[in-house]
Amino acid sequence: MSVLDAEILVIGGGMAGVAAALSAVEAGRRVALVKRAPGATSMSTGAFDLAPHPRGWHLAKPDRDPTQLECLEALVRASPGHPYALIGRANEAEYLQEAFSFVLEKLEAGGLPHANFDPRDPGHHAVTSTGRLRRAASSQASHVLRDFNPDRARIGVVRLARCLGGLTGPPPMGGNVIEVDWPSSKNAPFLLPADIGKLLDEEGESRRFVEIVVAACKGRGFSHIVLPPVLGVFRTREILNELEEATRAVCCEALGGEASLPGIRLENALRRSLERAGVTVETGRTLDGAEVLERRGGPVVLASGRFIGGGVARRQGSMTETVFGLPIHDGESYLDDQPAEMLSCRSYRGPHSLFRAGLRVDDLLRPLDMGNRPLHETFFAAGSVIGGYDPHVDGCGLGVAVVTGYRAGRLAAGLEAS
Amino acid sequence: MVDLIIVGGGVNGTGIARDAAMRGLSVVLIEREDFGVGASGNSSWMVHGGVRYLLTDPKVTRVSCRDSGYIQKIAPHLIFRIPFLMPILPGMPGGRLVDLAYAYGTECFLGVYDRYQPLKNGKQSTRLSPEEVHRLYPAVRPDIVGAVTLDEYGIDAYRLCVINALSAAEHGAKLHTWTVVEKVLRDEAGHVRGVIARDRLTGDVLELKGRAVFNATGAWSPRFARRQGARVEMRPGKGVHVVLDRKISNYGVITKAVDGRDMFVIPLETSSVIGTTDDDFYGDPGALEATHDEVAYLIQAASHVLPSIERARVIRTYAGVRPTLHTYGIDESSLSRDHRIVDHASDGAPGMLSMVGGKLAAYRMMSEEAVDAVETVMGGSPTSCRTHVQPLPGGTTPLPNPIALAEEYGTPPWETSRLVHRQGANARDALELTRDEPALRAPICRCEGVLGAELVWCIRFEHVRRLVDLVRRCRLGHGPCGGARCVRVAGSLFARERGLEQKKAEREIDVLLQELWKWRRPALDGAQLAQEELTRGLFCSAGPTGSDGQPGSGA
Ligand SMILES: Cc1cc2nc3c(=O)[nH]c(=O)nc-3n(C[C@H](O)[C@H](O)[C@H](O)COP(=O)(O)OP(=O)(O)OC[C@H]3O[C@@H](n4cnc5c(N)ncnc54)[C@H](O)[C@@H]3O)c2cc1C
Ligand SMILES: Cc1cc2nc3c(=O)[nH]c(=O)nc-3n(C[C@H](O)[C@H](O)[C@H](O)COP(=O)(O)OP(=O)(O)OC[C@H]3O[C@@H](n4cnc5c(N)ncnc54)[C@H](O)[C@@H]3O)c2cc1C
Repeated sequence: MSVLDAEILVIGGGMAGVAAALSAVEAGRRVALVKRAPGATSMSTGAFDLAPHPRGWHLAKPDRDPTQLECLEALVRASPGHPYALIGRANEAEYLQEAFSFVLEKLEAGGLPHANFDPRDPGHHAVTSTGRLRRAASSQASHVLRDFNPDRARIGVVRLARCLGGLTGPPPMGGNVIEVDWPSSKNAPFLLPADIGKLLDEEGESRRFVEIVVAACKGRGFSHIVLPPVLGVFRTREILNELEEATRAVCCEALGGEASLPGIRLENALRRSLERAGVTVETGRTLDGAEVLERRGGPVVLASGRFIGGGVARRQGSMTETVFGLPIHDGESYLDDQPAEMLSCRSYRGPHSLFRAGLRVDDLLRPLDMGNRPLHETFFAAGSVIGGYDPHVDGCGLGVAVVTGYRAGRLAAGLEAS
Repeated sequence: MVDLIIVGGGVNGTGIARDAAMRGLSVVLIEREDFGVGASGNSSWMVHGGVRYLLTDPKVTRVSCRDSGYIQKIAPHLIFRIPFLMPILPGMPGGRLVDLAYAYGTECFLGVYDRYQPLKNGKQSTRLSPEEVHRLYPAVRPDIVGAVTLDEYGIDAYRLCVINALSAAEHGAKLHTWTVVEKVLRDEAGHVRGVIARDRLTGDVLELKGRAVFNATGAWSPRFARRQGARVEMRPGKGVHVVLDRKISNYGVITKAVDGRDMFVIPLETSSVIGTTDDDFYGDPGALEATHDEVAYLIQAASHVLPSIERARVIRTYAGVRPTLHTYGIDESSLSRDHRIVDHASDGAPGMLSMVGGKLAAYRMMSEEAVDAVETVMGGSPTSCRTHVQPLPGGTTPLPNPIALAEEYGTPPWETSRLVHRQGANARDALELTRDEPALRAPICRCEGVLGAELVWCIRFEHVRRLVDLVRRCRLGHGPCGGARCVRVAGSLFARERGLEQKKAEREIDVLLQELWKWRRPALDGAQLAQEELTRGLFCSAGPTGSDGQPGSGA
């Protein structure tokens, strides 16, 4: 049977597409998912972000960090075109909790445990690839800076001599750098975090690694030891456990930077959770909208991503949605064939409408035509193919993927429709 | 009181500073940003004789051929050879015979050019059959009629400015970058006696006394002169280049745009450069940006001969203003490239001189003439110039062998060879830094092959005042990743070396990101947009600039 004949068809296999497929299966549907290739999800840092800290928060309330819900509410107030603003329910703590718990549990079942999400919580602390401290709504368990108290923590940051781009900045909170000469040969090649991860998935190599790191940290009284994000795709927890046992410090990984190993882990867990749920997956195929329209009557979820995923593109000056050729919107207006200079501004900071470009949807996530009508009753969009927000500057990429993906899957399965 | 104050740190300003300092004059050089930020760094980097100028102005070609021979001797490390092909396309009216005639004509035209080749160690040009062309250069469109070869040389023009300035400093000159000259001082007799300048980073105002002031501000020079009531006549021309993510070939190609203008595609390190446009420009040279239309024009013209360019990714653009001599009424690209040194005694500013026109390739000789004129204005007669025999910093031969250095210091070989290209004889000293700090063996920028040691070397010894200056010292951020990999690391090394607190360090990173964004903005299309999303993803998720918090919150 062709994937096109499945009860529900999901186009795109990033976080949004997978969340949609899984929630539709949960509702008892048979789902097929078509995925061309890994997209932005596979390059992400390992953190799930819901919304950024509100501007000026720390001036107004220096005593505490905002809760995730407060962050989201501020974001919705500041940008009314944001998908969170369109879906009324996304503002409800219970709904956020439901969507996140569902997705994070599936990832755990797929072999990748994550920190608990609680919208009434400020999120947990993690260290970025450049050595800065930040919050995340959730992240892979290996990234969580547990029991962290800024006043008492003594942080040590491990720097590997032959690791490219791993933990490069000065350590956070006045911590110390721990230089670790591994691999130790002088002319060993420099390796990307993802390549080192491959080495550390071998037990022998990871033993040696642990010994060298422990020797470098011993007796220095660190309360927390932060490693670059290189601790294997499969043996992460074991390596951390061994390190914690030997050093008596809380050990964690920094979030991923370029060539992100956590991104690869996430990709891997997505694949496994689709398998477990019995979703028919076809990878390596670029689905063509015309074919879909011709063959199908049933529900479709379009989760084809932004520029990295390939769901939205600008080709020789003209912006389009790539699967169905739908018009592109930035949350305020449609973007036609304007020169790049008009879609962006001189300041790198923006705001640039180019980076908010995507589909315009209604509160049931149905893409709208220029006359504000849904294109089709059972045609839904999820994730970064939806416009009106900047996944990066708005610090909400995977948050939107989780919330809209979860909802799109349920809508496609006939739930939630008002 | 110094002898000479030079305003402008392009190739001419730094060239004049070096020559004057080597002749024993006391010199101050003032540059409003950094060395090479004007036309010099944004040029095509060719120290060629300029085939395109042959028909209109053979003198320029002769002079710059001879002088580029000297440049090869004094800065051998910075020079790279580029063999060019000039493909002959079908489709001239009248069919094949005319094609051949045109080919013959082209060859004659290059035959003239060949007379100058021995002056700069080039190879003789040859006529190639279509089969030969495709063997050398498979990307050329299939139906060409043949091609003619010619030999050219390129140079890292940023570094050419930098090492001229450093050499001037070795001979006692004082360098002020990020300092703008705001006013020229006069004595009662109206004679120019110095300048008032403002340090843009500290805000300090400097009053500098000098016996002569040289206006080497390139495209800015008409404005600069006008403010002193003097005149510099110029017809400024904006030129835009487009950089592709890949090397299309090891050879350069000369071709024509739709409007008949000559254009080229050259391999540069791991990329290809397409240039250039040439349009009258009377705006502020400091606020220059390429436009989407200019990018489209260049891509269209280049893909006419090299169809695969359509599939390449435009990773950035850059733009400069040619300080061309004023001659009215002709088409921009046939304007004279010759130069002139103006003594403003005749128009009411005695003690001030300006340089107009010229080419990068002839900077040394023009600087020599300029210093001769300065000595004359100061009441003496020209003393002897040695800039053509004395190597520039790093230019002492034999140059070190990069592979041997890489073995010795445990650095990756490719990056080490880029280091030798940029630093020449100083490469070993830079690598010595890894003895105290082995972490500096790591490549920081993998697109352009920059080692930690090279960055630190530049920061310590090459008059780097801002993080963004490293863009000019070692091509930081020039590659396809748009600085995604290197900017933060370079920023923290810079902050460490200068003892900057977090806030100031972030500010430096912002200035650098802004500069790189200016290059990329006109080219955001196709696959480059995905790259841009990746770059933004990396920057935003790595922690906001400003406060600690959550991604994006400082933006
Ligand atoms: C470097 C980086 C770091 C990031 N860090 C964070 C972070 O720390 N926190 C956070 O919350 N977010 C982060 N993000 C953002 C986040 O990763 C994205 O916003 C999110 O993953 C988008 O998910 P998606 O499913 O919408 O798109 P994608 O993951 O891009 O998936 C789109 C999918 O659609 C497929 N597709 C497209 N067209 C077709 C077609 N025609 N036929 C079949 N398949 C098709 C693609 O192949 C791909 O599988 C980061 C992003 C980047 C790039
Ligand atoms: C697109 C293009 C391509 C070119 N290609 C080639 C080529 O391939 N080969 C070749 O030989 N030539 C080429 N040229 C020509 C060559 O680049 C120029 O002739 C040469 O670089 C001029 O150098 P300059 O020092 O006079 O000017 P610039 O390099 O422009 O230097 C002037 C400097 O003065 C500074 N300044 C301005 N005002 C002030 C002030 N008030 N106070 C302090 N400083 C100030 C500016 O910041 C600037 O750095 C090209 C030019 C362009 C634009």
